[in-house]
Amino acid sequence: MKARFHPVTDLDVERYLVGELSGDEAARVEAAARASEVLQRHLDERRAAKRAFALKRPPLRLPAATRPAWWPWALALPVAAAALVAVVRRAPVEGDGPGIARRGAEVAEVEIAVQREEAVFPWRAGVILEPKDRLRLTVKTAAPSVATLIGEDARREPVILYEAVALPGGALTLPGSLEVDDTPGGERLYLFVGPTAPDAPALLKAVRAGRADGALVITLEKRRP
Amino acid sequence: MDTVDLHVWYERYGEAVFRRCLRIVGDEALAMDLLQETFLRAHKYRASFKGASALSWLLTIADRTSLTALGARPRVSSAEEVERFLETEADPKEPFTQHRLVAELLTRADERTRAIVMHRYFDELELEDIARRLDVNERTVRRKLEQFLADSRRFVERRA
Repeated sequence: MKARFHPVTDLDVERYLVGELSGDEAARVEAAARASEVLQRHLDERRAAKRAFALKRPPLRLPAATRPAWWPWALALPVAAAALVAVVRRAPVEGDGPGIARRGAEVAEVEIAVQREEAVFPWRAGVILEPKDRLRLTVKTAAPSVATLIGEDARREPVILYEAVALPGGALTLPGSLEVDDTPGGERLYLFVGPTAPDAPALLKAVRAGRADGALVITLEKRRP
Repeated sequence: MDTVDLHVWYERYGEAVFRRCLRIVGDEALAMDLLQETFLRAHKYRASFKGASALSWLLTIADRTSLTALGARPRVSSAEEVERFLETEADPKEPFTQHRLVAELLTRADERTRAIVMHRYFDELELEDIARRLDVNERTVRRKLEQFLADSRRFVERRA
């Protein structure tokens, strides 16, 4: 097989488009494009794709500088399956089915997929998590909104896991995953969803004071060491 | 490189990384997710970046992340498709096009083979260039590619 625009490679094209090639290298691509209508068309299409992408790309969410020792961010393997969840302090609406949790029909529904080594399965009430399990959350909302997720370990020290994630409406799988550690005790997640970005320090304070009104609360059980 | 740089990189290279993920997994929603995963990994390992090309470094991370994700999914390509790919592969006039199929065949390959095959079928690099980039000799590159094709043939035979 050969490069589609031989002697220009796909990597040449991509590096050219992001401005990574040297002057000579870029001139070589441009000369090839002048000689090849197919390559010129490809460059035009790629430029159009970049413009379109700039309009739809989600914001980049990088982990905060500090993280809780018990609940480190992990770079997760995306999981193909999605599935489900639970709520503790607020009982799921009847008829939602196993694992589905809702905090009021107008607010949000959360699903959690658990990845344990090669296996992926839905979290649901009664599932005992193991150290190194990875959890991936999908949040479903009817309308565009903003979500903040706070985690709290057995010591009751809350930390922000996701801050002001823009939800477009519909289902959004939060980037990255959460890795379960081997510290004893259960974990609790508080999901706050609203039309605008909340004041994260105020939410932390509310959780710490046991006044997480309006939050979807998910309690996770871990295997005892 | 700090966090601010990564945000700049996201704007500059995000689409190219997304395209790479999409060519591997063939699913736009998953590819968008893998784009985030790639940059999260880049953030975690940013201290290890020493190369001249940020794009190449990000694409390498995207390859690993996407192939792992693809490996967790059921295989969708048929023996017939693989057979057709193997027939055209030997033709020096045939362009590289079967990206999703190649990626699927790669999901069980070792790290070195993955890197070589991705450079060959996705980046469209010549063997000499691949060898230089990976700091291995050209013979190793050739042997790994042959091994990849042989494994693909075995896949067809097993299905048959």
